[in-house]
This record gives sequence, C-alpha cells and structure tokens, in this order.
Amino acid sequence: FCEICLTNNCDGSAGKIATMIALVSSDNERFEVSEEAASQSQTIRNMIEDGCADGGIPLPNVTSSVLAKVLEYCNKHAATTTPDAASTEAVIGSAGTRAVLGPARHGPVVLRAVPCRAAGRRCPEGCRLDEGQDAGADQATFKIENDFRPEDVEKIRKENAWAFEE
Amino acid sequence: MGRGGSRAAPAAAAPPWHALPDEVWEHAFSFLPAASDRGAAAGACRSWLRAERRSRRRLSVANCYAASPQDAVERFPAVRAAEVKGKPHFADFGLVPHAWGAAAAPWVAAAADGWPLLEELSFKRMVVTDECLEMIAASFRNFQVLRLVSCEGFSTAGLAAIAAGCRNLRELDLQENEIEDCSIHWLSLFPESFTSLVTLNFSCLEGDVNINVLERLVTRCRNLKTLKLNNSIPLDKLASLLRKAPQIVELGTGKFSADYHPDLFAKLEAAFAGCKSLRRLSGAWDSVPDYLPAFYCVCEGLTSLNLSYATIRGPELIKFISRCKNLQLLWVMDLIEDHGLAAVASSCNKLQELRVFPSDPFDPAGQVSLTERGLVDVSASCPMLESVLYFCRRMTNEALITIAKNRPNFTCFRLCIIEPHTPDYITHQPLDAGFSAIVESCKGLTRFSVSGLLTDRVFKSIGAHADRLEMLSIAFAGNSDLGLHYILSGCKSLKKLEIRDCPFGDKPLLANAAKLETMRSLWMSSCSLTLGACRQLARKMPRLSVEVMNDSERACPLDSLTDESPVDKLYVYRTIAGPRSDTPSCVQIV
Repeated sequence: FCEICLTNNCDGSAGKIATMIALVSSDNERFEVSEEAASQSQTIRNMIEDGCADGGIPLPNVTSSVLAKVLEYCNKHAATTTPDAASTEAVIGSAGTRAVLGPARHGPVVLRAVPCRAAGRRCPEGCRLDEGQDAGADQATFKIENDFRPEDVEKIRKENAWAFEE
Repeated sequence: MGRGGSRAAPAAAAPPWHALPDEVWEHAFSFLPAASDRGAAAGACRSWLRAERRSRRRLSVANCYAASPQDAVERFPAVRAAEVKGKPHFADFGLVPHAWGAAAAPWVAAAADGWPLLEELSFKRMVVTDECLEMIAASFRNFQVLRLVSCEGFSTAGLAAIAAGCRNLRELDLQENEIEDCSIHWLSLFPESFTSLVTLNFSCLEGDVNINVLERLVTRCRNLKTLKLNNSIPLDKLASLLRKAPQIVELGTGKFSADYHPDLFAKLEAAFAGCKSLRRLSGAWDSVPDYLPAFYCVCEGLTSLNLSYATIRGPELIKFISRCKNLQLLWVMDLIEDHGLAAVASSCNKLQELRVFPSDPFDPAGQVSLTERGLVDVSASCPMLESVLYFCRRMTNEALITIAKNRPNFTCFRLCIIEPHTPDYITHQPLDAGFSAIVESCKGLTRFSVSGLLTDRVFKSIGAHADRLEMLSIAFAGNSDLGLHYILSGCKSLKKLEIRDCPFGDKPLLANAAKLETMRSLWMSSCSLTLGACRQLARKMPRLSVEVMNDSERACPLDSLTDESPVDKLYVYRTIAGPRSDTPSCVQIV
C-alpha cells in the first residue's frame, strides 16, 4: 500500500512528489489527498481538468466528520477498485425523492448525497438513476446483505407504516 | 482513464456498501423527506435502520394512539419537527364524546424529555392545556413553530407563556381552536426585543387584544408574512396595521364591517395599495359591500380567497371575485349562488380548489339559490379544478355524470346534499349513477364523500374502481350489509373510513376483519352493530384497538351487557402501542 498515492497499485512514482489536492468540507476543514486518489471521483476530476481545483475543492454538502470517514473508508478499500468497473451508484427512495451517493469511476468514493429531481436523468457526476421503489430494489442495487430475520423486517415495516407515516 | 503501471487483478465484487460508516448513510438519508420511503429503507439492513432512525427530522403521527410518545422519542432521537393528530374527523360534527381523549400532555412531556432541540410542534384535534403550553415554552430553547388546529383546553394564559418564553418563535398559528379568554394581555408578553415572528394567526380568539401592543409587535417584526386578526380589530386599525406591514403575503382581516365613511375608505384603499405581496386573503366580512372596492387593487395578485365566514352576497361579491383572475383556492358561502359561481367559472380559470359552505343548514326552505348548476359550470370551465367540497340542496345524476366527464382530474370530491336521502330531483332516482360516474372517471381520487339517496350499487362501483381512494365518508346511505362489504373488500388504498347512520351490520365487519389492519381507522356510528361482533373482532385481531362508545349518560360497564346489545359508536384503529389507558367512562375498549 502506497501512503502517498493511497492505492495498492502504485506505479513506482511514489518517490516523486505527488500532486496534492485539498478537499474542503462544509465546515471549512481541509483534507489533503493525492490528485490520483481524489480523481477517483468524476466530479473532482472534472474540476481538476477545468483548472478549478487550485484553492481546494469545496464540498458544501459534506461535513468534516463525514468526509473523514469517507476518506478512511477509501483508504481501506482502495485495493478492491477496478479500472473498468462501470459506475455503481447507490440510490435510495422512490420516484421523485432520491438520495444518490455519487459514484466514482474507479471505486466507491462517496462525496455527495444529492436530491435528484427526475427519474432517468443523468446526473453531472456521471451516475445513473434507478427506479428503486423500496428496500428490496435498493438492496439489489446495493447488493446489501439483509441481516434481519424475515419476521424482523415485517415488524419494522409494519411499525413505520402503522404509526409514523403521514 | 488509466494511469501508467499495471493494476492488480481486480476482484469483481460490487463495492461493499454495507461497510460504509453510519454517518455516511445518515447524511444520505437526510435528503429523503417522505416517511414512506424512509420506512421502507429502514428494513434493508441494520445499519440502514440505525441511520434512518437517527436522521429522521420530521415526524408525523397521524393517530396519537397508534404509538406511545415514549416509543416515538426513543425511536427517533433527532426529531426537530413533530405533528400529532388526535380525535377522529367526525369530532368536528359533535359525534365524538366530549371527554374521549387525545391529550397532548403525554406527547409534550415525552418531547421535553427526549427532544430538547425540538423546533416545531403541531397538534390537530387534541386537548392542549395551559400546562402543555407552559412546558413547551420552558423546555425547548430553540422552539420556533407552534401550530394548533381544532384543539381545545387552553386559554390566553397558555398563550402568554408561549409569548414570554419562546425567544425564537417564528410561527404562532391558531386555527379553529376553542380558546378560553382569561383577559390576559398575552400579546404584551412578547418582549420588546422580540422580532422573529413570520406568522401570527389568532383569528379564532374571541376576546379583545391590545391594539397598540399589536401595532408595535407588527412594526418590529419586519419578516412578518402572515397576519390573521380576530374580530376585535376595527377597520381603521386594520388600515394602520397594513401600513406597518406592507410586506404581508397572507392577511386575515377579522371583522370587516363598519358604517361607510369616505375617509376610512380612502385610508383602506391606500393601505391595500401598499401591499404589493398580498396573495392570500380571508376574513369575517359582514354585509358592507361599500368597502369591497378598497380591495380591488389586490385582487389581481390573489391566489387564495377564504370568504367562508363572510355573509356578503349579491353583485358586489361577484364584481369582487371576477377581478381575482389568478385565484387557485376559493372558499365561499352558498350566498354566492349559481350565478356567482358562473362568474367564477368564467373569471377564475386557474382555480384548483373550491369549497362552498351552507349559510343556513337548518333552514329547510332554502332561500339561497345554489344548486347543481353552479358546480357544473365551475367544473366545465376550470381545467385545473381538483378539489371540491360542495354543500347544496339538490342534485341530479345527469349533473354528476357531466361533472365526471369534464373533470377526470379530481383528487378530492366531497358532495354534501344537506337533507338525508335526497334523490335526483328530476327523475326521483337514487344518485348511484352520478356518484359512480365520478369514481369511474376520476382515477386519481383520494378523498370522497357521498350523500343523497344511495343504494348498495354505488358502493359496488366505489369498491371496484376507487383504487387510489384513501378517505371515504358515508352518511345515510346504502340498504344492506353488502354496501359495507363492497367497500371493505375493494378500495385497495383505503386508509380512513367514516360512516354514520347506515344500515350496515356485523357480517361485513367480521368478514373483512383483516382489511382493518391495512387501514388507519374505521368509525361507525348509528349503524346496526352489536357488541358481540365487536368482541369477536377484538379477539380475532389483537393488534387493533376496538373502542365502543354508547350513550354518554349511561356509563354501564361493558361486561354486564349481552352480545346482542346494540353499539352506538365504534372506533377501530391499528396500533403498535396496545390498548390506551386514558379512556373516560363512556368509552370502553373491547
């Protein structure tokens, strides 16, 4: 694992001075990461290419505590990225209200959760929206293992629907 | 993309989403407003359940007895805005015993304990005491919004506590409450340094307020957008208030009547001319049409007009409404009559919601000329009309069929023909065909009220066609158990069913017991139910709360009554909290 470029796939250029990019959270904390690592996000790559990254890249939707966790996660899982993996995106919610965890071309870098207005719209970050209607569809999209017993799932859904819905 | 160098052979597994830290999910969930989406997502896995619960900011409890306040607070510790509703809708018509329940106190106590950062609280049809209001004022340092709708149990003393204690109050919205007047000058208790008010609605308050205090308050609250006054504010004071708050968006004028004076007219006209942002208007206007032209300058901008307490009639009213070309919402008395509605039809093409209330529901002679004609005209000419509440004295199937054809986009259709069992006044037939046409044509109908002479046939149509229907109100209709059976075995999306004075008995209730768990609540009064059936229902469906109410005077213990005893009022609802412990003597849980 190369601590400079935050990957396991270092091409040996670690000895060179890696270009560092600053990511700035909504509460103004700066996180320095290598340009290579930061470019795992399409959004950031665009900004770098457009020359907008000089003063640091602002992430107005992300607090420092979340960003720290995300970067910690990326460090741990950088090894599982694959250059050709299609964008994988996380979508929660039914038509009209979605929380989308912006995907990365090369791995699951979570940088923004954005409300998406229209189904099927291609977000600028390069993510694709799915018609996730309920947790079942979202689980398929996410490939999350449901660690509940079936009777627990039933109970949770019932309690929410019976008492805490409009 | 690909930089130089070789990458290790990739594992083809999807990214391990479930391993994302909880804070990331909470962040994502904070963008999901709809409770139904959140409820579904919570069942995906444990980390989603935790994240959803910890990030839910707005909580809606549509039946205060469906969950306990402690449970709500424990489950959703980060709530900033809560809305709780209590008594069933028929309480508005005096059908629910006075001491039935729906106390807000346990909710306020639990919130004070578990949600110290609470900012908004909204209660509907609940009993809110002065102690509740005092506790709210004392417990939440950033409290901003208090909304009380159709509540009772408090006085101006409670309002004084709110005014004195809530430093950051933005909205005080009192709608249709019964407020006891203790002659306390509660308005004076807003400190001189207090300027944050955006909404002030005390239209339902009966007593006087100190006008000078009100003027000073309005002057210093520069962000005030909604101001709804009560009957105690005279017209000349209205003019000076408006001059202090020209930025107002919503105005309730309170009592709008005085002898005509040209000076006062000029003052009012000038004051209204200064209110360039005024969009919503309401008030209790008495018959002084001479002042109506003072409003003309704001008519064009109005999107909402509530004249449901206004007793003006005639050509002046029509002249006024005809100028309101951008109206989306209109609430009026039937004093507008058919020719008034014809004027609405031709002038107000953007109308979305119409409500016509009875001026004198107990006068059988019906001096007012409001018939099916008015509704037909408005439905024909207003393409965006989707919500109607209409009180009238006569109707025909043909009119309803025409309305259904013209307006398939109704989402809410509530027709109240005042005299029970009234047939089609031309053919003398039941109105089954007309109401069936509505339900067959309006595929998006979510709320429906039927009236007039109706047989079981209309319920067959409703059961079969009303797929999106969520709330249904039935009175003096149907001829047998079949009517209720059609409803309960159909109506896929039904949430609330309220029935009074219909010949529906035990059989359809028991045959469709399981349906009741898919609904929020069922109310049946003056039908043909027996206690035995209610006992059976309660045994069969332990997760439902089955409440029986009989004559309030006769507090007879249920156990002594036989299965054959008739049940006057039944209220059934699903709950995760088990039977409530605060029933008065006239209510028994079976």
